[in-house]
Amino acid sequence: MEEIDEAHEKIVTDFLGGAHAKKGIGCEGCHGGDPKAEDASDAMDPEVGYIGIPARHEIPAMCAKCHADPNYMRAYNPNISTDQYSKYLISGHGKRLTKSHDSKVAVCTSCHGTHDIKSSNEPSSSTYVMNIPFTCAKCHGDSTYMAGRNIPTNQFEEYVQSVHGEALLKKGDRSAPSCAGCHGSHEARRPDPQGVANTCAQCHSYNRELFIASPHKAAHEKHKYPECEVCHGNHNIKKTSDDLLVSESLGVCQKCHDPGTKGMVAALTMRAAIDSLSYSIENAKRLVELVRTYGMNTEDPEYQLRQAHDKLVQSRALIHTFTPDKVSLVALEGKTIAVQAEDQGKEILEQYNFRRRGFIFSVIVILVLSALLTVKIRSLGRHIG
Amino acid sequence: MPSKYFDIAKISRYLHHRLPIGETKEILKSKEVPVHKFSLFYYLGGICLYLLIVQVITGILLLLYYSPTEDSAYQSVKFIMTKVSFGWLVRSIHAWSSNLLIGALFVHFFSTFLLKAYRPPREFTWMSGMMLLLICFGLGFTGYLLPWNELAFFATKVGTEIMSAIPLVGDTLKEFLRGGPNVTGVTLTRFFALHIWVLPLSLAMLAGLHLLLVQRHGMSRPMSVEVKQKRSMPFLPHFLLRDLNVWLLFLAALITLSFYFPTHLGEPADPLAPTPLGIKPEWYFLFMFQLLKLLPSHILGIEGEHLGILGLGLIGLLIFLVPFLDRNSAQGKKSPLLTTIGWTMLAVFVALTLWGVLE
Repeated sequence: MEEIDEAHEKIVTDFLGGAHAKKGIGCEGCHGGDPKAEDASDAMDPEVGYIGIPARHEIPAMCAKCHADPNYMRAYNPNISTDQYSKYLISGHGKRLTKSHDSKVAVCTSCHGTHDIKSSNEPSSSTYVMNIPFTCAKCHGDSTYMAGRNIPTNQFEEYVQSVHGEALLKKGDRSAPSCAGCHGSHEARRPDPQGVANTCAQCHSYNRELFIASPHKAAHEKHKYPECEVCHGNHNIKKTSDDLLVSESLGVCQKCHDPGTKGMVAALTMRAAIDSLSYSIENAKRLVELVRTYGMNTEDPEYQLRQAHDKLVQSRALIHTFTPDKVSLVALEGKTIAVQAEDQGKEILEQYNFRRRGFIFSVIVILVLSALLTVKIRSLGRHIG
Repeated sequence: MPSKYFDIAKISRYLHHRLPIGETKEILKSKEVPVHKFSLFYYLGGICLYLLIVQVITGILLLLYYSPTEDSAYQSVKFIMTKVSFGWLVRSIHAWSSNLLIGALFVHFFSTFLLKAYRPPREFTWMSGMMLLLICFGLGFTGYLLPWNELAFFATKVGTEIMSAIPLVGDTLKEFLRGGPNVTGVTLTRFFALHIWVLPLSLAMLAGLHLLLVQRHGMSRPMSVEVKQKRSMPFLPHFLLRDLNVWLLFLAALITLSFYFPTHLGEPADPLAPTPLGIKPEWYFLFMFQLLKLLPSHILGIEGEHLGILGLGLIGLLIFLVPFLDRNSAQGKKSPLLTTIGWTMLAVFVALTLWGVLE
């Protein structure tokens, strides 16, 4: 009895800290019954609508009674969406629940919690953007729980090490995608192979435009390749580098294109153009940094270096056109700017050398004058009276 | 044979007849500089004068390109630093000579105080010197804002804010200097006017009076050496040549400092940006800044900062009037209390400044 009381007490504490209690909704909101009844048996009488603990498969429909009713919900939050249930029904989770009658598949409480449901804006909520990967991993990272389903369980480990995972979980960049960023939340499902570019384009829209206009789009459609994922991967997307284009260990072009083929020649040409620009920028940067340590003003070449770097970023993005001429043209523009920055750096270095020569010369002249004056002073004698 | 148009003797006679050249020569010829173990301190006045001349010359050169408005000040300094021939050198020498000048003034102040050179009849020489020190503080404070960079902007903001702690007139003085409640382009214009007109003009008049008084009374001989043999050397040419030699060495020092530690341009001032962490005033204000930081928020019900400013003002006033307060020195007797006060002030000044710099 004491244990039951303790469990109940925890439920009450959790509930009071949750979003529903804050809006004035009591236990009867989900469990039914009559909260005004004086006697417990009257309050929990099925005659007055008491349903007790709802069955797991009934939970989505139970939550939807309120959350799918725009008229009811506007009293609490006029801006809240009410399409969660309809989205859930078409999600991977919803389909398994309704069609396959999978008793372990996620329902509302799996992600949002039961009595301690909090607004997803609260950092302690299980659906707060930075907590979502951990919430999803509770099931999707548990190989025992996921047994019998044809999906891997290492997504979380891969995501944590990916560029997105690092941005969200290590750097705290809340604009970086969590699981829901790509899969959706209530409508969560595996993206269609032909829709991957659209999923990535939620953030990387320019790259998508370039990809769609490129010859790769038709090839990917023909072979039903999952677009961006073919080169960049999915959960373990790493920070891109030029090595991704052509390199022994990381190169992705060589996975499909054999050496000497048109595709591989294009990859090598693009890599050469980008390498040439990177090399010019590095050279100029070294010189500019050197003269800056001498205390010289390097604002102008630094501005040019920023422009050259912009061109480098632009040429790297243009790889998604898979057209070497476009990449080379922008890379060449960047290289011209980088060379100008290096020339300015050389000019500043020459100014510095001129100053140094002037400094040495003037100090020598002054010291010689001082020495001559000292000789003159000595020749006068001390004349101390 | 003298030229028809360039007869030096004739020109000399012409000038001698119209200007007090002869009298000046006589005065300088008869001028003597005492020689003793503290004679080195006699060069400080000359060093200050020399650095002041460097300030005026480099200041005028900077004025050729500087533009004192909110929109153009930073850009004009950038232009001086990057496009004007030797502009970087002129600006660096101007900044370094101002720092060396204030440093030399501090040494001059402490040496004069400790050697009791303020004793009669040099009371006014002392007082004019103190006022010159204050004017140089003002020149340093107003000049610091003129490049209109981030550091200058916020240092001025903090510096003028401290002024509001002066009882009764603090807020009015702060608003007067800022030209409003905040540091804006109006403040820049005011500081520019103070920096190139009001303060230099006051300084020129006071420096003239100070030099006149030094000529009138001659160099003070410390009491500890006064009773011993009174040795001296002629000012012309012995001391003057030594002075010139020191000036040459200071010129070499200025060029070296400007080359190895050039003054930077900094980031342009952004009044909307938050105050950067660790903002500090120039080194010569650090002792006051650190002292005010040491005080508790309230002392005997009065705000600590207000009391601190009042205390510093009172100490300044007592130092200003020290020739009249130090009766022992005036009568040629030893004054151990003032010597102890002098050394304490020096120790506190050095300790607080070092603390501020290293913090």
